[in-house]
This record gives sequence, C-alpha cells and structure tokens, in this order.
Amino acid sequence: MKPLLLTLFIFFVSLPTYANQTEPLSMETFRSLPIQHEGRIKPLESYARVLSKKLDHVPDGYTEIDFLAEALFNPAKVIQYPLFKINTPNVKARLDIPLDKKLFSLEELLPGLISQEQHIFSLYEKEETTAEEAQLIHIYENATALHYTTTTFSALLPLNLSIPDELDDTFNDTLPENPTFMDFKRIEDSVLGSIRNIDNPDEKTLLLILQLSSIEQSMAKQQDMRIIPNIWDISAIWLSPAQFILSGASSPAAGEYLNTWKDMAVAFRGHNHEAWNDLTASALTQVQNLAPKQVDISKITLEIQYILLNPYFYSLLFCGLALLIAILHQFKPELPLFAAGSTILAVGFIFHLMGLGIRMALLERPPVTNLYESILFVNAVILLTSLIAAVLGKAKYVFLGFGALCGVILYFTAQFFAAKGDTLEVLIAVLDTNFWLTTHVLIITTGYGLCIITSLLAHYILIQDKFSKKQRGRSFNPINLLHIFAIISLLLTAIGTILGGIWADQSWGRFWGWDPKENGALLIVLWLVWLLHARISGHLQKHYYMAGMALLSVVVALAWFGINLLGIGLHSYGFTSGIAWGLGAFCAIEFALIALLLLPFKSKAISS
Amino acid sequence: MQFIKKIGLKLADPALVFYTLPWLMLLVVLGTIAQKELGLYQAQEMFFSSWFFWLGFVPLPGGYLTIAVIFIAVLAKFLFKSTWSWAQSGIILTHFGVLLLILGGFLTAYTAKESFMLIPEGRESNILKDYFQKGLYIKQNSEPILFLNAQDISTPQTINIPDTDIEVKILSYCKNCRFSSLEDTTGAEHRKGLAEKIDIHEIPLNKSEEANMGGVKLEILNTDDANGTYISTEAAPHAISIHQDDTQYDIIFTRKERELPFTIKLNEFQKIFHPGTNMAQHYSSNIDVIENNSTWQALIQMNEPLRYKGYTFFQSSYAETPVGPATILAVVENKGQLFPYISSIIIALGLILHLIILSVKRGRKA
Repeated sequence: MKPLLLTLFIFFVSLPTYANQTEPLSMETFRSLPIQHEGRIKPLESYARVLSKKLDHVPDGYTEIDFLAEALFNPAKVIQYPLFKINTPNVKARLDIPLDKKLFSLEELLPGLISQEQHIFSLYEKEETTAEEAQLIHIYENATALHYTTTTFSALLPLNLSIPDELDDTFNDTLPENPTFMDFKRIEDSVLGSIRNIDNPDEKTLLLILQLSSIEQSMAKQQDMRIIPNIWDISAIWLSPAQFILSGASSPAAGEYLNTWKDMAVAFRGHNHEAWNDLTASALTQVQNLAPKQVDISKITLEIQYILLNPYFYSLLFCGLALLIAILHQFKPELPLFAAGSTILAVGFIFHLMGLGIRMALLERPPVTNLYESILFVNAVILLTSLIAAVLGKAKYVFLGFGALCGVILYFTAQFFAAKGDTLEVLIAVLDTNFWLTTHVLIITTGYGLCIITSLLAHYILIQDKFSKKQRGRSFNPINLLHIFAIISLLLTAIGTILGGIWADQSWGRFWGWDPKENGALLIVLWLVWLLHARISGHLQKHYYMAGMALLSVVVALAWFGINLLGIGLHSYGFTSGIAWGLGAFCAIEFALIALLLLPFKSKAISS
Repeated sequence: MQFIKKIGLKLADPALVFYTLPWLMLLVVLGTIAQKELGLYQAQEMFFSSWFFWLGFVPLPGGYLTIAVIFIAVLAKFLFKSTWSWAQSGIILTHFGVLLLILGGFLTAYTAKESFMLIPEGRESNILKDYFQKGLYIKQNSEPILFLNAQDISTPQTINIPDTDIEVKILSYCKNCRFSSLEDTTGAEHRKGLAEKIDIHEIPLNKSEEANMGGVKLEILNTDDANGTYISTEAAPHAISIHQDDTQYDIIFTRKERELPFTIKLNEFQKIFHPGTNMAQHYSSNIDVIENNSTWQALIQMNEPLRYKGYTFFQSSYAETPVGPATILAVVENKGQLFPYISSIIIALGLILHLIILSVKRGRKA
C-alpha cells in the first residue's frame, strides 16, 4: 500500500491575507530565483509556467509568477480559488462535491481526493483506464501539484491553530503573535514536551498536538520545490524548505537564505514593496553564493527571456502573414508580393531558429529529444527547405505557401504537446549521447520534414490537375520536383532509420528489434520505396502515384505520433496520450480529401 | 546458363516487389499493433521471425518469407536486369546496399545469441544466461551433462540420467506457472521440496517475455533415498539435489547457460540520477576481464559497450541482490554485426549518387 500523499493540514496552516494591492509587487527579481525541479536548475518563472499548465483556470489579474507567489506565500487564499474543472458527474460523486458546479477549489477537492487516494493508486496499476478514471487521475495529479506548492513554506508561515486556553500564557511568553511551525519547533522540548506529558489533556491540547504532528508528517513529503542548495551533498541535490528543516543539513548561509524566504513571505503578505524588492535581490545574491557552480545566472536570465519572448509565437505571426500573401497571390497573381512574402517567412524562420538555439544553449544538447522538440525541429526543416526552394526554384509561391502553412499548423501541434508541463526536460540515460542525437535523430526528423513537403507537393499537383486549366503553362515541372523530393525523403528516412538501428546496436545490443518506433520509421521507408518503384515499373498510374505521395503525410503522422498511442516499446520517452482524436481526424480528412481529388480522374500515363 | 538467366529475369519482374512490399507493410502494421496484446517478443515471433503464421486455418507468409522474396527479387534484378552504366550507378549501389542489409539481417537472425550476466559488486562470473531459451538441466557435480530445451518438453516424458539408473519423469510443464497451495494431500508423503506445499498451474503468457516464469513438476525414480515428486521453476531457482554413489546430481529448470572463455569481475556499479528525481542519468560498470593469468580493467556504460573476442557487453540494467547491488550486462554474439554499418554507407552513397545524377540530368534538360 502506498503512503497517502495528500493531507488536510493546509486548512490550519497560514491565515490568508487580503492586502490592498493597488500597485502589484515587482516580480522581476523573484522570477529569476533558481530552484531545482525535475532534475535541473530553473528559474521560478519556469516553475510558475509548469504550475499554471496544471490548472484549468487562473484567477483574473494574475500572471503565472504572481499566482505562484500567492500560492507560496498566501496559500490559504489560493486554495479557495476555483481552479480545477470537472465535468464528469461520476467523478464529482466519487469526490463528494456538488454536481451542479464545474470549477472547484483545492479546498473543496482535498477531502474527496484523500478519501479516494488508495482507489486512485490502484488505477495506476491498470493497463487501460476509462475516461472517467483518467479524469480522476488527472485531477489528482494536478491537485497534488498545487497542494505541494501551497505547502512549500508551511513551516515558515503563520499557523491557524487553536491554542488551549490554559497554555495561552505560556505561549505568549515564548512565541510571537502569529507563530509558525518553526517557532513551535524551537520550543518543542521545553513547552511542547510538557504539553505532551499532560496526563489528561483536554480536547484543544490534543488537537494542537495532532495538528503539529500532522504538519511534520506532511512536511516530510514536500520535495517538489527544492529551493535550498545543499552544500553538504556531493550529488548536488537541493532541499525543499521542509527537507532542510527536518534533515538538519544546515549551514549558516543556507539558514540565512531560508530566513530571507521567510522575510519575503512577510513582505509579500504585507504588500511591502521596498522590503520585497530588497529581499528578492538579496535572495538572488545569496543563492548564487551558496551554489556558485550550479547557478549560472546567465542561463537563468536566458531561460526567462526565452519564456517571456516566446519566439515561436512571433514565428507563428510571420508565418500567418506569409500564408496570407501566398493565398492572395492565388487571386491576384499579378501583384509582386514574393519579395515581401519570402522576407516575412524568413523572419518567422529566424524567430523559430532563435527559439531552437536558446533551447540548445540551455540544455547543452542537440535540439530533438522528445515529441515536442521533434515538432519544433521538423517545423524548422520545413521552413528552411521551403524558403530555399521558393527563393532558388521556380515554384516560388507554392513553397512560400507550404512553409507558411506548416509553420502555422505545426505551431498549434507543438502547443498541444507543450501543454503537459516543462518542455525543457532532462534526458533519460539511454538518450544522453550527443553523437546519436545529432546523427540519427536529426536525420530522421529532417526526413519527416521532407516527407511532409513531398506530400504537400503531391496535394498541390492533384489540386492543380483537378481545378487548373493552365497545366501546360506551368513554369516548372512539379512531377520532376516531386520525384526529387521523394528521393531526398527516402535518403534521409532510410539513413536515419539505419542509424537508429546502429544506435540500438550500440546501446541495446541489437540492430533491429521490431520496436514500434522502428517499425514506424520502416513503414515510411517502405511506402516511399514502393511508390518510387511502382512509378518506374508503371504499376501505378500518375494520379494513383500522386495520391500515394499525398498519403505520405498520413504514414508520417502515424509513424511520428500514432506509434506513441500504443504505449509500448523501448522508445518510451515519446509516450503520450490524448492525441488519438486529433490524429484520427487528420487521417480521415486526408483520406477524404485525397479520395475527392482522385476519384473523378481517368487514368493517365505518367507524364514525366 | 540461359535457363538460369530466364528464371532470373522472371524473378526480376518488378511486379514481384510491387505486390510483396504492401504485404510487408501490412505485416509491419499488424506486428506493431499486435505488440499491444501479445507483447513484443511473441508478436515478433509470430509476424516477423517466422516463415509462415496462421490466421485461423489459413497459413500466411511471415516476415522471413516476405523479406526472402524481396531479397530474391532484388538479387535477380541486380544480377540479370541491371543496366551497368554511370546513369544507373546510384540505383545499382543502393540495391547492392539493400541486399547486404537483408543478408546481414538473416545472418543475425540465425546466428546471433543474446544472453545476459548478473554480477553483484565484488563478485565474478563467466556464466551467460540466455534471454529466451529455457529448459531442464541435469548437472553432475555442478557440470551440465544434459539439457532438455523447454520447446522439446512433452508430458509425460522420461529421461534417464546418463550412466545411472535414475529416471526423471516430467509430469507437467508450464511456460508461465502460477503457484497454488496444495489442497489435495493425497500422496503428500511422496512430495518433496517445494512440491510438499505447493503445486504449479499454467496461466496465460505475460506480454513481457521476462515476466513468464517457466517450471516443471517431475518425479524422480530409482534413487537411494530421493525418490519423490518435485517442482522446479525459474521463480525459485534452487536445484533439486540427489546424492548417489558419492556423486551429486542437480536438476533445475532455468535459462540456458553458456560459459565465457574468460571471466568478468564487477568492481563497481555506478548509477546516477538526475538530482532530486528517480530518473536515471547514467549507469556504468567498472569491470575486470580475467583471462588465464592476466587481468585488465574496462568500463561499460550506456551507449559504450565492451567488445572482446566476438562478444559485446552492454550495460542493460541493474538489480539489488542480497549481496549488494548487481549489474546486468546484455551479452551478444553476432556474426552479422558489421552488415548494417557497411550497407548503410553503401545505401547512402547510392542514393546521393542517384540524386546527383538526377539533378545533373534535370540541369541539362533545363
């Protein structure tokens, strides 16, 4: 049986404050404070973004970092906000929450989640869960994340405890007005020890003892936000405030740093601008001195700029604009818009490249290690290839449109995968090899990008053949171009697949293991080989060949994303869920579109 | 010669590849989806590592047969239908690379041996345990004298221990056994060891081959004092020992073992996690290779195996054992190992050459 992870002690920790916030506190320095989370040192801003992804609703007026500060220093207020959306009546019934509401606060959810915790753990053992069970797990994980965040500073915040009347005097002498757990801890042996030895404690005394031990037990589980560098630990593991207090792994400097956080909490709760600014600046200096080798302030700053700038969003804007120009050209071909369009697309590409470059600098590794990054990289490949083909080739607006269209579609696809948490992830052991990440992974993903362009070109030819009467007047031979793109795609996917096999041979001892991801890559290669040979041998006539090339997008999508739906195999770093519907819809639309373009044709001999 | 050429030309007909490739793609799709239900090993055995597989009563071509047909078609095209010119040089080179790749694949499939070693820190071993092959061992004074492959076990089946009168009668065998407490105590006095308290029953195979615990129930006859019914399973890897005429005979159901021509000693196993997480960042085994009277040190880590005397040792996993942390090294002997390396270079060169030729042609036309 697993231990319970959630506790109710938040209800008596930290009295909420409702200071008059006419002018918000500055978060400039606070967002830069480094913490250790999910295996790497990151700024609080990154943690704040990850936390906000776990909420269905962020209260009005809060940025991500504002909300994090509130959750850390004023948790009793945050747990009252309705942040989690639950639609399923059975889940609501199981959690014993009102059926007529949609949004729920942590305060409302906690009792139900605690009572259901063992049931939820049992769901993790199941191979497949129902939608209802999946929602329960989803809510549990997200609520747990917020719960951990809100209890990070439980030991440093004023407690909402009921003090026994007969002990009031004793406490008045030894404790401040709003005592914290740390204050109680200080008098543990002298005062609390004597309370525990009372023969017939009254109800209030028992409650106090119970509450304090509950806080201590709960604190032992607080490991999510590791804010204090542990100078005694050679493995470079930082400590959460609770771990720091309970482990006794203290040093004067680390203790001072924790005190600064405590003072920051007071300044935040009192909305004291001056103290807040001084203390956050002081905290930043202190943490750099505590862990000079681990805290690289230039990287912290770069990561914040990456988050705030959001270069992919600007890339989206420029791609969208370029797409409009490509569409406009279809209706007004006489307008000389190419120079403007290609420049705009190039700017979009530069923003995109900037994003990839910053990621590489932050993580010190090649840019593709998970599905999200593969989408970013494929997008970059398509944008660059389209730009080169547009500028150097004759099909200028065609490739301008391809690049811009993919830039828009892949941006939204990437956002779907980014919604799950921190996209700057540390690597599992087998992936920790820059050589193979640079060769196999980059080549195969470049192959995906070229396959998508090949597929788009085939779509274009099918559409042109169906709707345009000016086929003979074309300035370029699209079939020849398609053939070249298909061979480049084959070259890259075949070599990428074989290199993947060689990597597998190096790390697992076998070249080919029929792993789903390997099979997906093989499928793309076989599909291309089949089409190219069928074209040469004349087994497939022109439009069926084109349809086959157009369907390459479906084959690539299945190999790229579909394989992960199986949730099996050695490439477990790419597993995800919830993409079935999107993928299914994409495949259905592609089949319908290609069938529509194909059906009315009479077979023609291949013309190239 | 003409006859061979005639057959070669027939086999080089592109129609053969045109109709075989979709079947191979279908196999790849089915074999991949089937892994969800059957697990990787069983799906691989059924769809890919087979000449035929059965769909109900209908035999269908498996992966081996399909790839063999493609190999023959490409070989025939290469030998009898290639146009030996510069213009076709890229295509010829690519086809040659594909032939080498498939050839290497078959060589690997039929000759590669995959096994593993589990060595606790400070201990040494020269015993390899096969990943997939299991069976019943009979050892005389710790030396194997008989191995009955699990695939060849039929029940009831009687084996005589060589040069003795001792008979081992296999009463039942299960590929994946479940233990149950013994309810029917009839003949309990005849049951020995594990079999005194428990019985074994066949349960459905697990998707993960490693999770299947094979075992046998057997009866031993004609011994001085060890006659009885016994159970031996992978889950309880203790041998049934019989002492007869100053000789010890051990009977055990386990993975097939092989001896290395040298010994590996684990000096230190290191695992590093990403700070504050349970996610492994790095595994490595610092080992000694002990051969005759010489010893030398080596480091095996993720993506950096040790290759020695035809064996390749990979850092596969680790285990906590009663005597401390242990490394698990995957050990592969593969005569076809170089083929993918060579063929990938040839295929890449072939396709690049073909692209260049195509581009030059296109440039001239323009």
